[in-house]
Amino acid sequence: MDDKNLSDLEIARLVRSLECEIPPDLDGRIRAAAARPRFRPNTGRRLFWLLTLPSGAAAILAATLLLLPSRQRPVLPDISVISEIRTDFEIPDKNIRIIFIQKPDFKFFEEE
Amino acid sequence: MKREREDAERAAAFWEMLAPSKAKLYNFIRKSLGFSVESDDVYQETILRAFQYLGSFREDRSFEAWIFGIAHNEIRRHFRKSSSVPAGLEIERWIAADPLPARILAGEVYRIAENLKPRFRQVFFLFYDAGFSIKDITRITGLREGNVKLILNRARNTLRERLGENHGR
Repeated sequence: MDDKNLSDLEIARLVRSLECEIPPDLDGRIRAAAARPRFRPNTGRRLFWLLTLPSGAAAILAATLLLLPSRQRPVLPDISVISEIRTDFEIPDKNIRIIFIQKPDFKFFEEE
Repeated sequence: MKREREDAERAAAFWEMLAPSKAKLYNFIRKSLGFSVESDDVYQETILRAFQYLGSFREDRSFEAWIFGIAHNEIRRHFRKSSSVPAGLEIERWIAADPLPARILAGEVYRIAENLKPRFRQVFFLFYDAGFSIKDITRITGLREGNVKLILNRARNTLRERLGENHGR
């Protein structure tokens, strides 16, 4: 074997030649600790509900408030469209009365 | 009632999945911590954490790589809290029990590994002791593939340099 060519396999063999054994009581201790409520499994599912429930409740509350009749906008009567603006001037001595009538644009000449 | 039954089933599935990886996991933690007396605590914390967060394990992934990822984080947490106790003693005792040339050589490998930075040491043991591929090591440690290769290459070269003289005699 080449002295300068220590292969990965050989390093692995040397490293694995020392094997530590798990103390016999350690497993029992871990299982006993795991049985405590603090270490209940499935936290992922609990976390899901913890996040989902408050936001779901908030959404339902918001929808209810929006749909309540008191929160709905009152129906306004139709506003009539201004058809014309009339301005009157009177010159009393001359017995003249001038009336300006402003109307929406209209075609002055009929197109042929 | 139904929930309790489900929890019990999940717990049983967890212990079943863990069984084939336990020894490997224990050895990885112990060796990465330089045979520190605190290794048992880190091993226990790793398993309890995995048990607690089993819900986050995706079944399309490897359970072994997942739990080694947790162990990796626990070891890092341990090093943040306290510096590692240098091993020495356990290896010396192991060699003294049966001083074969192979053991003396392995002892030398462990002494070199002890001098590696904690993170590098983890990569070293994940590869050479736990037998993970470079790709798995990137998933477990969060290191880039190039960095993992570099760490392993440096460790390999150091070993070759130091053991070169004695190796094969």
